[in-house]
Amino acid sequence: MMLPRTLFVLLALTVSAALHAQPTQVLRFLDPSGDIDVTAEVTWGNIRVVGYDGDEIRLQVTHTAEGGSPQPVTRVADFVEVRSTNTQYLIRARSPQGDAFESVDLVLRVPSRARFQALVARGGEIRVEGMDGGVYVQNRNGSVDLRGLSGPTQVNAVNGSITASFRQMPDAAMSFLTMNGEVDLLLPRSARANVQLRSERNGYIDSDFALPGVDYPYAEEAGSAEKPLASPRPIQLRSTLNGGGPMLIATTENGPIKLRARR
Amino acid sequence: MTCSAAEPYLLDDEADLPPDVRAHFDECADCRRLRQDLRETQAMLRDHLATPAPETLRPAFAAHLEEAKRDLARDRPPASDRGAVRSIGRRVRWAAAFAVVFILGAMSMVWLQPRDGAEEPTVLAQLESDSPSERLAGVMAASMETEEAPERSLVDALLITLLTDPSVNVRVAALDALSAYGDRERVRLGVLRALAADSEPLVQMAALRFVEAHQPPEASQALGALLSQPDLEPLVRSQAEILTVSI
Repeated sequence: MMLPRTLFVLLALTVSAALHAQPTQVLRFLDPSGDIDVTAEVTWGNIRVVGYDGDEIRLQVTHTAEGGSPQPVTRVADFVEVRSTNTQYLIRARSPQGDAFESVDLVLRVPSRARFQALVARGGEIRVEGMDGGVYVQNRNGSVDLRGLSGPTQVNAVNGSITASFRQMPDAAMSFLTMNGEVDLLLPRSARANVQLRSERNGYIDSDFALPGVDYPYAEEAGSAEKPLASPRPIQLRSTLNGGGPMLIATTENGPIKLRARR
Repeated sequence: MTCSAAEPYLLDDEADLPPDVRAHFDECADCRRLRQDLRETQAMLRDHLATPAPETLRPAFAAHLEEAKRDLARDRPPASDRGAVRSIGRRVRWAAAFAVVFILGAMSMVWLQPRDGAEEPTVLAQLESDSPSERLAGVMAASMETEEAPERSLVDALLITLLTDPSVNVRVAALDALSAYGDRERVRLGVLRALAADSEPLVQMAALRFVEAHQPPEASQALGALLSQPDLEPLVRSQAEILTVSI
């Protein structure tokens, strides 16, 4: 009786998966026809966002209590405050209660055309993928990883590296600032920009793009050496990519800056 | 209430202030002075942007007013007719509202027209945009404009951006742009204000770079205020301590 046994196992697995499936809260805009905004904020925790071609926000929440393991949240309202207008959603995780530590992770699927803002007030990682409508991110402690973007982007992090890749270069000024960590930008080879780069300490500039007019003695070494040389003094340079375009600012107080061209 | 908590209200009208913010402004001489300064700057920017109404506006408005008066005269009721008085009141209010809308509409058309040889309205409009990206572009444009011909209004607009913009990236860009004007007392005081009150480490570091470059004599108080902030980032603290000794 091999078949009934297999069916039983499959059925058991399906039921188990259904019981443990992460509950998803669907948030709808009253007016999705125009510009829409989504803001996600946590104190401690990760924010992961994937853009998709739709009109709703799909939200999953995971809670980790002090000393505990991550638990999917079934009653989202207990952990997350959601406010909305016709065209905006603010999704804010609750702050830790008293002195106890807790983290709240948000996983979102968001219309890719939305303007997305994320704030991690204390610590966590931010990862955003496939957003076209603009990404504005702030993280206190933790890395920021942005992929497949095509809209205006601004990132600031205190302790954490910034990685961002662009499918298309937006026709907009952009800024990437971190205090401790590298800034690593992957841009279309044809990207046009006026760049303003600064690494205050322990840094180097590594660019796949020609940087005309740059009087930076470490530029060639950084581009060719296996282990680029860190500059003993602050590096500050202005140049252009492919003849110039909107302003692109990348600054780190402590670390390198990489401008890489998509292959 | 702390100065930084009161900062978002610096440009609000007195009547709109929450009681605790009003109480703070009453008590805190620094905030009061900054509020006064910002409001003067705002008024100055408004004057700077003010554009005379087009020649056709005044006669058109006068004609409309005369027409409204004639309508009112035709409908004038007996003194005892209270219902009609209310009706006239409504008509007067409608006429007034129409006039205001008419004037604002005409003014906005004038406002939106580019002026010969002047980029500032565009830059200033960018700085007031809802979009952080647009405001960042405005800061960059303002810094290039001021490189060409330092305009007090643009420098003041950068100062207002530094002290009030919600985006860290935009505030840092404004501060970097202001570094070219460290010889101006107004700029120095604005940056020191940001140094003392802004809680974002990246803005603090940019302000410390400004202090290092320009060595403003008034810096010690701001550095003291910065160093008294709890949870200061180690890099900010060490840099502030070095500057406290060296200035």
